[in-house]
Amino acid sequence: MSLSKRFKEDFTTTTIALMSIAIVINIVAGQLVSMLKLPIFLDSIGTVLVGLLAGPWAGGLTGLLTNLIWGMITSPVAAAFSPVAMAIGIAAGLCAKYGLFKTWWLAIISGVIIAVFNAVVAVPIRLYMFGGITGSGADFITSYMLALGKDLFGSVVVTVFTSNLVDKVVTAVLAWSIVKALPLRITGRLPRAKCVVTAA
Amino acid sequence: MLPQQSTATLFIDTGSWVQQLHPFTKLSYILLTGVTVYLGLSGWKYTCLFLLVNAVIVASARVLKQTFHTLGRIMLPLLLFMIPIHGFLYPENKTVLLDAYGMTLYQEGLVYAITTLSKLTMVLMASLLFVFTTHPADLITALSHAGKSPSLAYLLGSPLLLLAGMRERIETIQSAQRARGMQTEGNVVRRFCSLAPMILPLVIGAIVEVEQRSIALEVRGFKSTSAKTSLRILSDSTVQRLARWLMLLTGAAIILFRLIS
Amino acid sequence: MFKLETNLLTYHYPESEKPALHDISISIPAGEFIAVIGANNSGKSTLCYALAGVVPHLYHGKMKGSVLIDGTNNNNRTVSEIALHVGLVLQVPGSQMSGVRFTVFEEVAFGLENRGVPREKMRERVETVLALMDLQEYATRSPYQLSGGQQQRLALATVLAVDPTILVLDEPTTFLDPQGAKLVFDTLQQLQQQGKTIVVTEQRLDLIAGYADRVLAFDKGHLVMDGRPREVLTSPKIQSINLNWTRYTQVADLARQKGLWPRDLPLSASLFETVDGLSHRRKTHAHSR
Repeated sequence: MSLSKRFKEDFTTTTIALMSIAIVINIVAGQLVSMLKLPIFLDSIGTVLVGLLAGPWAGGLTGLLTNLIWGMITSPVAAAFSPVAMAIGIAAGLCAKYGLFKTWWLAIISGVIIAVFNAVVAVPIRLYMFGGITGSGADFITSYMLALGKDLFGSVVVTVFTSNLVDKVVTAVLAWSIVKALPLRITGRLPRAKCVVTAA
Repeated sequence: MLPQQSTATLFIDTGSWVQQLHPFTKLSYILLTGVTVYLGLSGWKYTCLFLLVNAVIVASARVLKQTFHTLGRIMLPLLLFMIPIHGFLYPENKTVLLDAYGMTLYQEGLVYAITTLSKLTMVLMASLLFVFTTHPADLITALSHAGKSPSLAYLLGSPLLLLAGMRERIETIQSAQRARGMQTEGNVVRRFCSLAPMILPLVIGAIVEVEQRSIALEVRGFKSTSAKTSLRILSDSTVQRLARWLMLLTGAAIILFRLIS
Repeated sequence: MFKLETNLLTYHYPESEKPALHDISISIPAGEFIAVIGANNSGKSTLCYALAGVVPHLYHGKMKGSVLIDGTNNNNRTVSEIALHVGLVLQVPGSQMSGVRFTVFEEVAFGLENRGVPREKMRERVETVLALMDLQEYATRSPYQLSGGQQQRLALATVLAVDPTILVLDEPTTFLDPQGAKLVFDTLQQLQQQGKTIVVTEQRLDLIAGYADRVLAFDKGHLVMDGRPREVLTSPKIQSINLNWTRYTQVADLARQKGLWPRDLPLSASLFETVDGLSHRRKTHAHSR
């Protein structure tokens, strides 16, 4: 199948409507979780869902736009991390494509893979734009690593990976269970849902 | 026609000249600022000049107070973390500035922190200028004029409006869960367990609605192939178009120059 | 004149074994007010979707037979083109909103913008429709800050903007109180008088009798009754398709059991007819004495 045809099939009106809702879910879930004061963010659950239901391109775009919109409603700093959110969506879509979302334990593995993708893109941004510091609790890990004598790059890698690992695994498992719970009527209309659903 | 209510974004309706500018002009400005700050000029003089010029623009856009307020909100925590962490722990630290109570403050770390912070401030200022002075409807209109596909405009615009509807749903779910004895307080494990029952119905409900939304879009001609018109009038001018090209070309030139040298 | 017809229409959703519609043949002349009744999953919504081309254009699935609008097969037009003739109002008014327009005025204009209507003509048209739906005072309000009834009227306004000849409404009163539901039907009657054809699905049978010219009853994808409201709504079959007779019919039926109802008069489905039937009996009674 040609790329442009694949692209067209991935971006039906239904997919566009799904992406729009997913962006809202990202923002709302992020706010809900921060209300519960949990050590995770869950602000990419919508992105991962789109990755599963509509493929890596749609997932990546959902992530990118989420952070751009976040930049417009709270603080432009979020927009700087939009490539990271994009990487998460692409990673989730690829994992689903290669059958890594068929069971709950495969979803855990996917969560780890997503955390790796996340770190690969987040580290340079954090390093070059923010000097490795983002003004959050995770900075304590960075300073601890620095105090142990690690270089800045290594410290930031460790910080980003550890502070995102649990979040991405929880996100992946939740996303998997949501797709499982969706009525057939809905998943039937989404281009990539079969990657997850037919496994049961 | 501007709505009476606020727009969910940080936009402030002042009617200033910056607000009248085409959204793409302001976006090009952010882009140019980013490229210049991170790849082009550096040094105290340029930084001060840049901050001064931007302060004047922001003031004439009548969003000076809000800009400083937001800058403070974003930069203060960064500053509080970055100055001590890099001042004390930056790996390249050599020159001692201050040595007291067993702690040593170094010059390299301090300079590094301040440089990073000032670069960030410059980009933030340009971004805030855009966010504060651009009505999202103008951005949506600009995007749908620019591309043939209405999808991107839809993806940027609709979440802003849907957010309001979602907030209500959260409150409903929260009160329902609380009535069933869910914990929003208590220890981490308990709070963790209350996560799924709160998130799942919200997300599944929203996804089920996707079907109806896409039908509504289709019957309203979202995918119509005829040339589209727009109710909203977006002001643009030759000068602005020229300025946009100039800014983008300058940005590209700086990137190219960097790649070569 | 605009005629809407379906010929032996059978449709399967992609994921289901049983057809959602089974050999449906209906012919609706222009200007008629049609009420479609039936329990949940009886095929009412699918009929609406089929008339508007949503089925099978957006759902795919298997379709046999045809839907013709003024002789043109829906299969030969896109959903957007069909919408210029058949306006579809969805069950949840919030879903009908585009989500990209910040005011009621712009929201109504959205469908016109997409069809490339010139700005001045667009303004005129939006103002006309807002006036028709009594929404002028909310023109600058956000579509998401309206009450349920107002949002329902806005949903109808967005559909009316492109001036379709036929209006199809999928349970427009689900989220409205009785007063609001009656208002919707009053508006539809007004639109019928202006020459529109109305097709509306409805579970509140008591509301239908005063408005509809004709009632179609569906059960499990089959068209089981098609006739005048009084005939269909008072039929004993109503109970067998999981619906209830209206209070008026129940009163008439009780009256008949007690011998208070004229022998040759069919049961009634509206307040007026029931009172008429009861007083008719008294009149003939007085005569015989």
